[in-house]
Amino acid sequence: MAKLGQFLKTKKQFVFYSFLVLVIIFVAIAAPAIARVDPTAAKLRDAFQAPSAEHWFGTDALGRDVFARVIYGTRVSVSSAVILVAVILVTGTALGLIAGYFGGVVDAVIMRIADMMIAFPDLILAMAIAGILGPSLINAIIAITVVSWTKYARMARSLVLKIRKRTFISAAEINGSTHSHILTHYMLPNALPTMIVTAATDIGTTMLSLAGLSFLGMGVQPPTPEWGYMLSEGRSYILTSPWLLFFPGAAVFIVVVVFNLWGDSVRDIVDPRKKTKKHFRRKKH
Amino acid sequence: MKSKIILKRLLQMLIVLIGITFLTFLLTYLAPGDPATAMYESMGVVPTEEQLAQARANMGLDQPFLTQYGRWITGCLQGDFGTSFTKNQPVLDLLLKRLPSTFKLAVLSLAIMAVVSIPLGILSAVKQDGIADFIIRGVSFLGISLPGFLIGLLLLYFFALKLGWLKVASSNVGFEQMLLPSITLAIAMSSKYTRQVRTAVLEELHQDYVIGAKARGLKQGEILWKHVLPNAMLPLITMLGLSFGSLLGGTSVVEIIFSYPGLGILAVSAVNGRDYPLIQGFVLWIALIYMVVNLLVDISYNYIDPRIREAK
Amino acid sequence: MKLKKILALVLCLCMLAGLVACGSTSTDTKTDTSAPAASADDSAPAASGDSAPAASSKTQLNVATELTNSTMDPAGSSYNWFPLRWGVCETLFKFNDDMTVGPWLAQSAEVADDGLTWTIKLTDGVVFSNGEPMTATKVVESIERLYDVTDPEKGGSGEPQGFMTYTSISADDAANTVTIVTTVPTIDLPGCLAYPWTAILDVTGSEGIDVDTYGFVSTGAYVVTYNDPESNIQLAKNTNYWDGEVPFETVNIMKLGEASTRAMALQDGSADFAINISAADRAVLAADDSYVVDVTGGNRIGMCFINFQGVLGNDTLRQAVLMAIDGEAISAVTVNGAYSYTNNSVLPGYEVTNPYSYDPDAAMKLLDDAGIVDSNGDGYRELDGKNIELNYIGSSSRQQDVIGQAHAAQIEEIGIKVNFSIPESAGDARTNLGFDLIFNNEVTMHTGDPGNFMRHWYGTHDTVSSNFGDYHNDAYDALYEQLEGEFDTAKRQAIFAQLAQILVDDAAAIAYGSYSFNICSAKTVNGVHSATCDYYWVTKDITPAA
Repeated sequence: MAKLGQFLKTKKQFVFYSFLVLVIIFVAIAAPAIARVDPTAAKLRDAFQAPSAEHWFGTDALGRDVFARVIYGTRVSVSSAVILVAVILVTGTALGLIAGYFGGVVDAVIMRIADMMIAFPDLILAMAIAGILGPSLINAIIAITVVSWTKYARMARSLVLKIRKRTFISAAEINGSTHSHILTHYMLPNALPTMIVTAATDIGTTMLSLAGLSFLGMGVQPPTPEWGYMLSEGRSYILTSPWLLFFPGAAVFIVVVVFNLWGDSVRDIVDPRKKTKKHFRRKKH
Repeated sequence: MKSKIILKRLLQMLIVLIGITFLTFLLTYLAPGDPATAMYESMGVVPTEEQLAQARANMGLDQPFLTQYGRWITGCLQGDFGTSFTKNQPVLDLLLKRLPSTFKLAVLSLAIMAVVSIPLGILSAVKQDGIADFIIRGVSFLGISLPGFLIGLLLLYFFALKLGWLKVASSNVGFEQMLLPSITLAIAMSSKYTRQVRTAVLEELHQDYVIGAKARGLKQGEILWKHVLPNAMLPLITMLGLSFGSLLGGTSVVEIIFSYPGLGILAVSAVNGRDYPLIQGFVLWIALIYMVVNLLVDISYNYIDPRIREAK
Repeated sequence: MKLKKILALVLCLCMLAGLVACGSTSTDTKTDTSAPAASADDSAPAASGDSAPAASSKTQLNVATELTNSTMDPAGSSYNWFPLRWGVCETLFKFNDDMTVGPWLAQSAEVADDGLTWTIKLTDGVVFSNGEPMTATKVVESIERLYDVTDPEKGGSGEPQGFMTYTSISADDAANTVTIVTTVPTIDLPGCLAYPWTAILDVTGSEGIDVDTYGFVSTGAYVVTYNDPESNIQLAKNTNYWDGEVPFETVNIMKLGEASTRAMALQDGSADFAINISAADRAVLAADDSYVVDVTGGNRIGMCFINFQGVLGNDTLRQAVLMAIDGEAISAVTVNGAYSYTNNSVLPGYEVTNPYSYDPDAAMKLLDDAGIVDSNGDGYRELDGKNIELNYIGSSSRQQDVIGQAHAAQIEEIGIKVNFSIPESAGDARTNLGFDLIFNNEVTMHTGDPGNFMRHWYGTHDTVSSNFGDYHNDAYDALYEQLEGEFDTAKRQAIFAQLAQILVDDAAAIAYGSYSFNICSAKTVNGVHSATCDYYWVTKDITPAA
């Protein structure tokens, strides 16, 4: 207990941002209680109302409460971003571990495919994939996974290569451990911390990618409340009902900032060395 | 020696290109929906079964997958990228028509980005932990958390609509029409580059030779301009190359918001219309431009970087 | 370290401010909504100041459009109205705003007693843009080409053939007349010859021209000089124009996909007129003296086909669904008047009485009484023990995405599950009964007569391919058959009124209303008009403001 207290004291930043993240997660979970009304309930004759005491963020074209939609949007945005990052983390790490551990042909095949993927600006390939598969949240997640796993695979592979020749691995091999045993008991635990930190720092960016696809109509489908799609819908009313843009826009912004700050603080804890030295990242729009 | 490396890279590129096109071809092959029906639909026609069969035969869709792919790739090698289903024009023509405007936008937004982020990055590094550093880091942090479409919409709302400073449309792709989209793109990039420049300069400032030079009483300005900056800018070249490559692929979201006639809008309409030949041509273009830019970056790196040069 | 603290603080303040702001925003937004109008006011004098002293020097007409077509060939893709819309082509006859037909390249059309032989008197003195006179022979060549390239037996679309077919067509250059003998009595032949794809082209004079890009040599006031349909189209004055002086040297057509962008282009002076501005933005423009808003409706219906083979074949369920929908609110509020409510009739302009007007309570009672209730407690009703899930296919054009969502939300309110989707292509589903509800946005009177349109409910899906929903009613079919050979307009109209009423009584479709398309113009130009048929946008009658 005292140890925990000590930890909390030294990691004030992390604690604070984790608190903010928890607030966002709380908002997502408690959305029904906070929003009070159904985000998909249409009261057609109450459409396009400016923000008021009754409708804090105004109403949209269908007379739906924008506040409720923004709050419920937290659910979709946060959960899909976390799921997506998890999927990328798992596939990328698994492929990277396999490539690094087995080497040879397996390595060559996996890494050449990774080379191919890295040649693409992410959003555009994701768009093409989502377009071919048809628009839906699941397909958007698949599309972004396809273009994003390479970064994790490379990282996992290099981590494996670092310990591949260490004596304890050779010892395990001599003692007759199976490949899967070595992979799960030695390789994975070794790579995992770095991988998870990277994943944590990526949640914010991932959220932006997903919102971008939804904005283009290739992600979440109506009437599910999602910020990117709300912005896309609100665009037509920029002259007359600008609140349809401002509130979902602010929501994306705040949540992404919080997750980015939290990700940075996680990295600072695990790897204080990198505090000032930001590693090279693939650039995104 | 050098030309051998380049040759090897070119060969690698070729393999990757074939892989990518194969993959997209496979995807479109597996995708639900029939291009022949889609084509008729884009013409607004309800086709008969015979017409559909005829169209499929014309498009080569009745052939086995590998034959289709082989036919397409031989066409590409002869400069024939197929004909767009929805626009009834050669894919290559469509892409080439859009290229100049996309190119101009890419150059302008990179220029704006450089003008903003290099001085700010340097300032922020030199005055580390000062007020300027705080503000610059804070703003750039917020900048990377803003989605491009939101920046675009806000700029449109305030500058075009509320203030009336800029026009939202014009017939030719002139400076005025490019300004808002390129600023939108530059804001997102600047945030990233400012941070990058700052990191690079800081790293360089902590090098032994800088400390030595300081000890020898050299002026800070001189150290900065003559030694620190040239070295710090090197890693940025790679980043710049990648940025340029991805800008040349078109920037759909920004182009849609500002009705800018670039490759991105074309890509979105191709995707929406299931225009497979156009999607394939587009993907091939993206892959090609990206790899060429990468190669050029690597080659230029060889020439510029003194460390690599001396090592030879 | 410090930086992040400051950031965190700012962030908290933002979140707080967000909450606090909610209480006070109502006053803020009031100033917001008036602001666009105010800023338009500011810019208007400046804009007119630019052009007023040099009115005669305004030589370019700037147009903002939502839609373009990939080809300038009127027969090149189906429903290619654009060569006509851009004033590049002209037709023999022209629709007036009441959808009667008036003269244009032809003066009159007279039918012989056999009801088949039509003699068309051409207008004298018409020349093509290359200076070539428009002779009767040229007209015949032009029409023959249309019927040749669209011939279904040669793989063509067959669409013009759906309107009119002929057994012979001949030219008399001396008398300047064309004679057409139709295969069946075709009362609306002049209307058929006012339809955009019948635009008169100099077929032989256009050899060697890239007609997809530049169009055929034709008789319109302007000719195409540059054409990138995805971004902009440039036109120049036809120096050989037959019908007076052409007012502008050049026309610049900008494709701006977003309605809000078009409105802004009008406001900041980059466009002289804009086609199709959203109703909300129109209100802003209408409140401002510098703009003219011209709205027309009555010829295009927005509606949903209902699949009678699916679960909605159940009469009670279908009636309840219709009663769940507040059509008046959707047209007036949701889309801000973009559609005018037609009392759920698919045929605008004909009075009907609607027995299934909006009454969700009655709808629920109807379902309850019929035993269509929620017995498994999932919140949705079942029919014969099976879950009802309506597959509603929508479109994002013409605000049908919002309308579809409004429909879906209201149908869900009476306990019926709706899956609303907007696929990239709806054609497959529409032609193969792959839907419960599917959008349809269609011109009802292509040629001044809705006979073709009303075929959607004639016969069965198997016998009439355009009967997409497999609706069938013997009384409807009997009435519809009376239309053939009926040349008396009043009698035809009486039949259409009855047909429309039958469809409403049978709850055969969901009609959200007739689409009001519009053209908004700045006072930098005169003569911009939104025609009922929607075929004429750039015309010779648009002139620089004096």
